[in-house]
This record gives sequence, C-alpha cells and structure tokens, in this order.
Amino acid sequence: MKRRRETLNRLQSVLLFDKLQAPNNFCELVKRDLYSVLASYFEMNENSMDFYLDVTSEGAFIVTVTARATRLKNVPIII
Amino acid sequence: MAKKIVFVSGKGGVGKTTVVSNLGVQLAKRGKNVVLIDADIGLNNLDVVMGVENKVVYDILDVLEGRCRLKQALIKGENLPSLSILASAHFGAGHISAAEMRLIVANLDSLFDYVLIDSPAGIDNGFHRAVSGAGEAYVIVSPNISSVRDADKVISLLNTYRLDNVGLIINRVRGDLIMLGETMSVDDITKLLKIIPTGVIPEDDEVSLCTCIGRAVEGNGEAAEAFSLLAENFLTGRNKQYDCLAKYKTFWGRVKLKKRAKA
Repeated sequence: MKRRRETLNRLQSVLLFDKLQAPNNFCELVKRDLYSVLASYFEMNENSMDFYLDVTSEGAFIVTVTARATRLKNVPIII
Repeated sequence: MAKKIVFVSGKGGVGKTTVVSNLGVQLAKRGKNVVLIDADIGLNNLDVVMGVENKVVYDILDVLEGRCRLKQALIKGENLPSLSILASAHFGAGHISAAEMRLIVANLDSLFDYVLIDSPAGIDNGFHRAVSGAGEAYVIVSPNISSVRDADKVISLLNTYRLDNVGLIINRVRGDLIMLGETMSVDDITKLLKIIPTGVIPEDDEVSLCTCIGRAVEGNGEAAEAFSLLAENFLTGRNKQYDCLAKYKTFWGRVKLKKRAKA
C-alpha cells in the first residue's frame, strides 16, 4: 500500500508542476483577449484590469479577473 | 458514415498498436467493416502485429504519390474479409501532411463503419497528422507514472482539436500489484485524468505471444475477454469495464497473492 501512496503522491506533484509550467506570456495573452472583449462593453483602460491564475493542490486552475470600468458603453441592439 | 477514431499516447510502448489491432479484429468479428491505418510513418508495426507484413505491396505514401489507388493499398485481414489494413511507409514521414491524411480518411469514410488510426508516440508532427483526420480520440495509458503524466499532457492537447470525444483506455493493468498496493489502480488513474475509461485491458502474456506470431488474442483469456468487452463498449456506447481484480478475490487468488507478498 505504501508504494501505491508514494507513486500517487509523486504523480500528483508532477502533474501539478506541469500545470504551473504555463508559458510566461500566457497570462498576458489571456488578459489582452479579455480586455478586448470587456472594452467593447465598458469604458476602461488596460491598467485597470488584474488577471491572476492559480493552481490548487488538486490541480484545478483558479482564474481571477478584476476589472474597473468608468461607465457602460452604448451598445446598439439590432433586432 | 464511418467513425474515425485515433489512438494516441504521449509515451511509447503503452500498447497503442496492440489495442488498435485487437479492437479492429473484435469489431470486424461483430460484422463491422473496419480499416486500420498505420499513421506511424517510418516506425510502422501494425502490419507486423497483424501478421500481414508479407502482403504489403503498396503503402500510404504510394497512394498519396499516385502509384496506386487507395483500394489497391488496402490489405485484407487474415480470415476476416471485413477487416482491412492500410500500411504505413518505411520512410518519408515528412512527405505526408495533415491535409493528406485527412484526404485519405475522407476517402475511406464511405467504405467502412470504423476507421481506426494508430498514431505514433509523442506530440510532434506525426501526432498532429494522425489526429487531424479523426473525429474521436482515445488516449492509451498504462499504470505507470510517466505514462499517466504524458497522457495528461496529450489530453490537454487533444482538447485544442475539434474532436467529438476524447476517451481513455487503460492498458497493461496488473491486478495482483493493485491488490498488493504496489501500483496505481484504475480508479486512481481515472481520478487523476478526470476521464472515465472506456476500456481496461489486463497485462496478459498471451498478448505478447500473439504479437510475436502476428495474430490478435483469441479464446477465453483475460486480454481476449477485455478486448471483447472494449469492442462491445464501442458499439453500444457503454463503459462496462473488465475487472482485473476479480481473479485475485477468489480463495486461490488470495493464496497466490499471499505467496507473492511473502516473496
């Protein structure tokens, strides 16, 4: 039973480490994409947006996005 | 319209070719028209595992370079007319593009019920070429740390393709080692990879022996039963799994395990 536990623990930490190896510019890339979507609906600038990516011990990603907008944009609705 | 399924794994030696050949035979025995494509260009082994290496006249590269028609390159399986094999080229991996692989698969679409593609190991061009022609992908994994790690990466990569389904087959499972707590169980792998396996194939000497003589596993052996169950799952869409631990839960099985634990 001990060897199975050891293998599982090792594998879990290896998988977790792999997930932390996201490319350096990955967050910047997602942030820019999110900004371009949000900026279509809100008046805001890129510096007013924060993007964080975390990995839990179970290997799940926690994505946190905080954005501050000054006002809503006037979006024309086409019926 | 055929089901176009690619079998992949990050790590080599987990049994992709074995699974593809045995699954193909089981599906053909159930009356389905099946074609197996060896997409492992340069390191082709499907013909050898199927025992048709002496029947290869034309291969996939001959088809693409116009030396023969696609139907001429298809080799009929031994005693199974509904099973065909499209052999891989011995060289020229760089000559076959993903678009050309899609073209080959598209041309086989109307002729068969199942198109099973045996992908090379790794995640480079060969992987891309094999996956690009498929509608579904199955990751073959064996219960060891490097195989599971690579499978996790491959699953992430497969999610970037437009596939209808990404499945999992756990191969070379050792029931005795699981019972003794020496290796990962099917449940452990399922929890780590977050995919319920479509098939669980036990480690069985019969598989190695049959591979040596170029035949699919037959009879009432463990692997034969597991491959049969896997084929049924493909046909019915169920996830009924072979219980690799069953034989170690009997009285004599427990005696055997105790002996092994003492050794």
